[in-house]
Amino acid sequence: MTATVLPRSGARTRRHRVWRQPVVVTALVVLAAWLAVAVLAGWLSPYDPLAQSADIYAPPSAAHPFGTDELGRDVLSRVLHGARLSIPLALAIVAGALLVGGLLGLVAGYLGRVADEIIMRVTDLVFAFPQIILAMAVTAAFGPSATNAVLALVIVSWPVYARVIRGAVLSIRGENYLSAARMLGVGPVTVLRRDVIPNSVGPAIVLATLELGNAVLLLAGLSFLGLGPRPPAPEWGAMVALGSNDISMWWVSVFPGLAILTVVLACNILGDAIRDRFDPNLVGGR
Amino acid sequence: MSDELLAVENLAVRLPGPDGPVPVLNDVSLTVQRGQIVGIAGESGSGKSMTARTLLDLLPSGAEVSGTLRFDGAELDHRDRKAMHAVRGHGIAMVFQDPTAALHPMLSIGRQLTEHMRVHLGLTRTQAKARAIELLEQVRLPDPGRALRSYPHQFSGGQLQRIAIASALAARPKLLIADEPTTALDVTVQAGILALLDSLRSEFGLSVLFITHDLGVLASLATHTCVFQHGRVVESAPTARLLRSPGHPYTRALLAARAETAEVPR
Amino acid sequence: MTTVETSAPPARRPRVPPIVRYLARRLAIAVGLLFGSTLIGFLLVQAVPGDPVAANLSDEALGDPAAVAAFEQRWGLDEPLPVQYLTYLRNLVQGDLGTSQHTGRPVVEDLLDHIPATLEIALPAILLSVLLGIGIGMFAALRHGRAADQAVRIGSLLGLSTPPFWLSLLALYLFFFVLGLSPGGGRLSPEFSPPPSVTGLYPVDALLAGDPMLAWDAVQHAALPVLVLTLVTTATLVRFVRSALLEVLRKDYITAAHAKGLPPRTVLFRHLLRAGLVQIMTMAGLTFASMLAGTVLIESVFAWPGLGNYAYTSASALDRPAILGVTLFVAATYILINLVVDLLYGLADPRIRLS
Repeated sequence: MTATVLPRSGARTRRHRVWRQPVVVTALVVLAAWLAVAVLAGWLSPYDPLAQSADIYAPPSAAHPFGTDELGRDVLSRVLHGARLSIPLALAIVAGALLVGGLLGLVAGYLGRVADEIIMRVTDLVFAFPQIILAMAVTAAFGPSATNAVLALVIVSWPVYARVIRGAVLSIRGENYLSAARMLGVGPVTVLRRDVIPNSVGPAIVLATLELGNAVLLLAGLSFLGLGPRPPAPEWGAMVALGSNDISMWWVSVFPGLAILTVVLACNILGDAIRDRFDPNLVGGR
Repeated sequence: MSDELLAVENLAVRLPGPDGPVPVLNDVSLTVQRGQIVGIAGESGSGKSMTARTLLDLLPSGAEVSGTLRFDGAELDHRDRKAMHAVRGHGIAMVFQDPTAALHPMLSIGRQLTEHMRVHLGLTRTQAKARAIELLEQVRLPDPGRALRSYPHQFSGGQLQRIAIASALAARPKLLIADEPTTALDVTVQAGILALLDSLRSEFGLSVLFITHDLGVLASLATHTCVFQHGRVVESAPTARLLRSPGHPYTRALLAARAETAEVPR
Repeated sequence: MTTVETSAPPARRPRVPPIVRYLARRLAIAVGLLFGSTLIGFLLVQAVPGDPVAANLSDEALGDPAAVAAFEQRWGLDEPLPVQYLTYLRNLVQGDLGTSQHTGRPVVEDLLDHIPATLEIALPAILLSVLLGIGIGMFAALRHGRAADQAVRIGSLLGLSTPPFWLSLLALYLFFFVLGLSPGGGRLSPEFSPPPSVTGLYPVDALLAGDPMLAWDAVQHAALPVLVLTLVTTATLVRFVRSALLEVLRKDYITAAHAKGLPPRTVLFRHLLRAGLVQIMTMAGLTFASMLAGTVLIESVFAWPGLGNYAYTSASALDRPAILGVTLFVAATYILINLVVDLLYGLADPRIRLS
């Protein structure tokens, strides 16, 4: 009899301990920190983000930790104020897309037939356009502004929500309690409020977290193209674009870019962790 | 005991879980003689399939194994992956529960029947093809030549299980592990597969380890039966005796459950 | 190709091979989507609030009553909207996407001029991304849950989270300004002139013209944009390949292949990859189309005169006809690639091909 016990390989899966993973904790901390910055930007910034000075293209120093840009504006103050701009706008995009997509998904899933067919064909159609290109076309058509950028990004991102919410509604319908409720004479509004909406909240939240990072990234992309909030607003994407005027002044674009990267990465890591935890089968985004 | 083909002694397996290793097999011992069909019965989760997977080294990574294995007159070290893998297909072969899932949907039947033949037996393409046709005839599949050019989705479940058995036999294994090979099939088809396995045993001296949750299936098939519960062998006896006078309460419970379902008219 | 008889009486319906029925359905979907995308394009050009004439003509042209009248006539602006749409469709079918406001040339000509430059970076990038994506994704899937898998996962998230335009600037700063390894922006150094156009891809055309120095210069210029496109795209593909293969790894037929005693490499390439490859190629096709869109965010940084740069300058100048031209072109490419991938899918999967 051989009594030796020999493990075949070291590490094992730790899906169950998502929340205790150091990476996920770091992501949470980073995101919380950015939210705090967004709230406290005015208080944290050493300078007025719009104030120009003669001290142009100053490299990072004690006075200007992130240096200054071509108009002598303090990059650190602009990056901090950028959070106040990008984060609420990204939240607005996600909220808008969730609202539009969620409603259409509910309608498609609940009514079925013609409504479902039409709504799903339209989502297919929007999916046929790469997001950044369609968003660009929409903003260009309506004119560049922060509001129109948000509008454009809602237009390009609602279909994902519609599909997921429709799926959630259909899975409930499959469980037969919609028809049972109808037989018992419960009105559609009550059914929606009591059964359909609560059951769609989970997938909606997972998806919204996954999409928040995407919203920040797309917004920065539109701004980089000059289609976001109008200058001199301290939008991160627009700030990166300023750095391309003279690439040797690396600090002008490196710091706002790092801001985008850290926010988006934190959102993506969290979204990934939440997806793993709640719904390994949900395929979000594209 | 020169007739012994497989001997498993004091086999224990633990699988990694969220809170440390979970024991799935405890102190399992069983033997299979050459040309014998041995049954393993038990409910799902009792460790039947885990035993089969241990023999073929198909456990998930991180599994801890202890115990001794003897196969075909030689000690088999479960820590020696190379030795374990050398047995796969050629020494021990396996037939799975769901034939529609166990065959690759995008590879032709011919390819799936011959690829391991060529690896293990060193056959040429034509020799392998000839043997594949012969095997399909042995498992009584109509039109073998055509079948070789076809794909799994073109066959019924029962036909696929015959193909899977042919594939398992392709590299001339000494032991066939059949893991609930009839569970996913229609009742009428089941009998055909059972008869096939029995005739393969009597004609070619094949040894079979037949895993099932249905003790009744073993009655006419297996000479010896082991009953599994919670990863242990709770009873091991010649099948006839085990069915006539079950010693363990769990065996009696299994038989009672079988009797209940059998009363339902077919 | 066999034609589908749609008008056949139901009583003796001819047996249409399943593959033909499949192809016909895919084709119908693609045509529907193309049609739909023109509707979106139309809504964005003509139905936008404000004066379509002002939105679509350049300032000089606006000052010229004849030009304004010609524009109104060309797009049927005095007609009701549905008629305008038909006019728009007719113009589109004739290859008329309008006239760019800032180049003053037909948008279609502009597009044709810019496509080869984009292909010159997009083709190598998609090739590299697919190879890297399959390699790294497979590596991670086979080490599911272990440290290497975690590393790949974080790495691919990092790739997805990096703004491509920022990465381009960083790459240019590092390889051009600091290290001097890259010759900088543009397709060629100033001392070279473009090779005679055969494929439109400079390195290929230069080699065809027997000028290896020119080819090498072109390759050096393309290297950085290709690198950035590859990094961004590989991240998407790695994640997709990983999850697709994890799905396949759970299948009984992979266990069965191991149980048959096949060499691990055979199981890996012939069984595992074969099962995942169709999905992976579908994803690669879609990724290629979004890569074309992604060039908008990077070509301007590298002064690369491709589609993306054209879209970027059009966007900066609010040149609506040009932007819509690019948008429609990319959407059409996306739909066509999808169609081609679907067709290949049908041929590759026996369950669709036969049955």
